[in-house]
Amino acid sequence: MKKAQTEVIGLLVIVILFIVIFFFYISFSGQNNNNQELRQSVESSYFLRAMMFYTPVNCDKQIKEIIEDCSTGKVICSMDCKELLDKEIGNILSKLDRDYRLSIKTQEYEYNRLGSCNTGIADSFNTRYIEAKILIC
Amino acid sequence: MGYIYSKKGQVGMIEMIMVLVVVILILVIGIFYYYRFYLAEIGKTESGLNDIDRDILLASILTMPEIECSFNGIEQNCIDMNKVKTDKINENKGLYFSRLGFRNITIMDVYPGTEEAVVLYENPRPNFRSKDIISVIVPLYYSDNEYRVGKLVIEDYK
Repeated sequence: MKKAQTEVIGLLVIVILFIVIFFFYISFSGQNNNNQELRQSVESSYFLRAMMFYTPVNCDKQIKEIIEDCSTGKVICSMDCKELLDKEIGNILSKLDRDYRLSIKTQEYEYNRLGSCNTGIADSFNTRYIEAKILIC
Repeated sequence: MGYIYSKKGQVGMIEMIMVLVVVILILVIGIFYYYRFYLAEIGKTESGLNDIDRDILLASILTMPEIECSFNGIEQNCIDMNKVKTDKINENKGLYFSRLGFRNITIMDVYPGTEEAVVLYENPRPNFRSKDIISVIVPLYYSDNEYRVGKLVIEDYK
């Protein structure tokens, strides 16, 4: 009888220990709020718009307008339009402190910067003539 | 003989009591540590909710009528610096506290500008524990159809 009582109490201790361990597990496995996607999406969208709306110094056209009008050898704002775009887009991209992938396409102009970014949230900026996509890591 | 049995019974009782004491001690320690970690989890949840609130603010701030730029009634998703410079938001912090909370929000002209910061809203938390800083590139509109590249910086006080 005494052995049985001792064994029952031993079993009770083990059950209680399991319950305590279970409570610890519950407390550690809380919900993992991942709102990185919202922030990355907003960042991509704002950045693309900032780049497309930008008006170069001493120029009365926005980048998106220059892209739409650009063709080989065309001069816009006293400069070859492709050189102007490469310069200005490159300068704007240097303000981004993260890795990215960018592509801009029209029938006459193409710009690609493929960094080492493979995962992130992408955003696009499309008009009748322009197809622009950015992926920010 | 009766005396021996009585002593054995007492020893048995003491053993039982010791076992019970150990069990209760384990229970008490377990409950203590569980609630300690439970309170830490609540703190983490609060922090997570604060981060969500900040990211929602980030997503919606360009639509605030006090700073958004629009042309012919169409929103352009950019910041009108002429509106920002009126300092309307910072001068009426009480009205915007429910939306903006304990934060500093500044706008910097980064290209081709001088990175000079314009304060949109300044309301740091007194005796804050920590501060998160996030920044995003945004389009800035000046007058005469001039757009620049700016940076929106949000300092979040906890």
